[in-house]
Amino acid sequence: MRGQAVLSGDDARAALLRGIAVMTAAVAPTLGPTARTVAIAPATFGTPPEVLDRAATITRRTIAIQGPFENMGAMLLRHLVWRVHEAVGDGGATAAVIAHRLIDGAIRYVGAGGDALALQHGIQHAADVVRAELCAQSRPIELPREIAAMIAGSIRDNRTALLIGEALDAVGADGVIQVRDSPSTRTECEYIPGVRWDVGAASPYLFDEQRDRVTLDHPLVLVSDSAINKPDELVPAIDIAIGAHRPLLIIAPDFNESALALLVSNKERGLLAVKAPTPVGQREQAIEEIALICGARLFCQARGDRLRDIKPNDMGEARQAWATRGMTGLLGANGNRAAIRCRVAEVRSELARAIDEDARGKIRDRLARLSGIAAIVRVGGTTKQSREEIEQRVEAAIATGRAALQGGAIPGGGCGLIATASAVKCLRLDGDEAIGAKLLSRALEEPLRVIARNSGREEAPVVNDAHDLAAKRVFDARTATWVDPWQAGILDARLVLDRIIEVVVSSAVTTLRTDTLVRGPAPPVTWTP
Amino acid sequence: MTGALSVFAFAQFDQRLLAATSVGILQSADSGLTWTQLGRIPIVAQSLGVLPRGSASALLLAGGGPGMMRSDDEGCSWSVTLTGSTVTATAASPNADGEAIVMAGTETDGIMRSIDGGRTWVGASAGLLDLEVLSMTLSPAFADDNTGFVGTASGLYRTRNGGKAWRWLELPVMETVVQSLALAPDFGLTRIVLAGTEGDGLLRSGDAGRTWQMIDGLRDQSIAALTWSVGANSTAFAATDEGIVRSDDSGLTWSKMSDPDSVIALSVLRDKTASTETVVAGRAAGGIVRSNDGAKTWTPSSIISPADVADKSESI
Repeated sequence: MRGQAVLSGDDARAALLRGIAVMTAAVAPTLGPTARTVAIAPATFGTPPEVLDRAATITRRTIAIQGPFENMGAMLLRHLVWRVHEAVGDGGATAAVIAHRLIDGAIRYVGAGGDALALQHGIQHAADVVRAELCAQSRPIELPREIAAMIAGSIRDNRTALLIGEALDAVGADGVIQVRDSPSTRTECEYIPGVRWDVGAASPYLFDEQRDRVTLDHPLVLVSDSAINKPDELVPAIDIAIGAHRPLLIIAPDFNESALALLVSNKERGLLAVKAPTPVGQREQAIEEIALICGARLFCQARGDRLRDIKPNDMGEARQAWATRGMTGLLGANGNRAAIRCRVAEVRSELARAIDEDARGKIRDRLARLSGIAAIVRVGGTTKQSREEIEQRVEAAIATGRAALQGGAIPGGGCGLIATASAVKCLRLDGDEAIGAKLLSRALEEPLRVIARNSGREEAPVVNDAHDLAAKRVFDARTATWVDPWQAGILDARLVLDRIIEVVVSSAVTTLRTDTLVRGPAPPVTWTP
Repeated sequence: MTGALSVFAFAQFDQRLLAATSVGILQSADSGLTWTQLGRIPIVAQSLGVLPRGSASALLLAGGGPGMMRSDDEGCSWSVTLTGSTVTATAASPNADGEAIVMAGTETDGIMRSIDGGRTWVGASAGLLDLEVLSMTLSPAFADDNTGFVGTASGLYRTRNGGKAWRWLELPVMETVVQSLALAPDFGLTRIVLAGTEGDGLLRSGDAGRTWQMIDGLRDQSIAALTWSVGANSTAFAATDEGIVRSDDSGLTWSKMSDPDSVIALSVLRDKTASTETVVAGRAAGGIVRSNDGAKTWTPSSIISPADVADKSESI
């Protein structure tokens, strides 16, 4: 155990709490509409501090704090904030302040002789009630301007908020919205029609000289799930296309050189070969869906399908197909729309089950192809730094908007959380379980306390008024007035708060159970200036 | 002679009624009683759009044959503004930013959109799985809600971002041809939409397209045209296989009025001075008929015969 140190019992929990407090103090100023920024010292000399206003980024940049055991508490909170950010893209500061207050109260109570297990049960019972109460408070959010009003506070630009609201409305809660840099200073939204995937023509020789794009009007479409290695396999399909006086688009995972040679030498007859989208882990589904979209039979090697047996009605159709070196697109693909709708429903449930964010992204891409729409928000800014900052806000706003479309919204600014207190009070719990429920209820006041503090107001009267008004009116920190949340757009996405409560309670329970902290030997420090 | 004249669409502005017909654009300044040729147009117009500019002036748009024409001088002269696919539906409205939004629904290429009154165009078919557009309408409160609907050969789509992108709407019948659309005059409040299908009856939504109901009594009918009364917000008319039907409860129930057959275009014009309403119906190869008693009885409009119109158009 050389170089190791151990801390146990109340001392251990107190150290964890100190670390949590340090990390919470770093993110609390970013909460609310009158939030302030946090400057973080750079890792290298000579560069200016990074000025941040998002809890997830601040905690991410905070690699360690002083004191090995305190650092464990800080990292616990860092992980909590990041979990919330990964799940819902927003709400990191809210989660941090609630967690700090809850863990603080619980540790102090256990330190004074409370029963940690009963406390834990009480917190968990209360969390269930709070989540049910949030459900009861929520109203559906549907219109672009409703989404825009909800995210305008975090994005700090009404025009961009409306662009995002419109984009979310157009692509749906499950749709694809990419966020990219714009060369201009203005943020714009572009909509991509039809089907598009980022793999292009199978050979550069399929392009005409000095052109880097091939367009086919009214092509027949052949889709194969296996590489095309024999040129003679393609001859029946080419014959059908020539007989029908139509160009032919061939989509397959790969083509060997001899197959490509045949296609290149006949490109004047309107032949184009493109590679199918092949997302890792979802390759089969993606090709199957391209065939479905075009109304083509998928030639499946595993089923023993042979391209030389192709019939005219095995081919799909599109109004237009195009390919560049790195991109393929189809417009007006002629698949059976009812079958496409069924597939959309299946893919949506697949998305709901997917946990891994990478897999979710790929499923969303498939949904975009099936729905014939994707949006790109091109973020403008005067400097690279400002653009990156806006990009982060845009991504968080998209996540919040998605959550609101899926689970509705509740009165915001922390007032919706406070309004759950009366339901928690009705819980029939005794002893330390009742204390646990009370601690969670108190902790849910913390976001409003911090918002009031950040706007320079006294916290207690604001919180008392919030209890009295029961979320019928909410505190607008910009004007220090009480307003109708639905009119003023001061709303929170219910699913975001739901996830925050889930993560905070699980972290609090973990912390309460922790009795011993073990510090390993410090790693050797190297430094290259 | 009115028998050979086909009327595809009506539009109105400033007490004037326009008709896109097989012999060109006609206009009437007396509630559809008499019609005269409006300028010379080299395409067979199938759809009309009006973009009001001030109180008594408007930009006129006529879509059809190989594209779209526009007129800045209220129909005296027309210029080609879009060529290519046949324009089957036209809609125009200013938006909140003061842009003159014009949308052209085409037979094969989806929707084209212009923000400068039809001078320049870009494709705006994101979200449309079917590029064969048959009908299109914009919200009366478009500048505020950016909402519009498009009927295609296989379903219905809605935009809530001013036509930049479209979203498929789930209907009680799958893959239906939506050939006519009409929004309640007070759509901003009531959110009522009527959608006429080919052979699948009339569909009604009371929540701006989120949910739909099939109207009993009109199932299996083809609804070629729909229009709302101007004066009474709850009155609507529909052209069905069996004649004109009327609803006085915002499209919930319908009763048969009379049967001028083959009606493919409908409009209601309110005479502001006399406070009377005229329902005007355009027929396929049957000219224009009008009713002053809420579609109970119909009389043919005085239309210059196609030959006369053609002769007259030569001299314009």
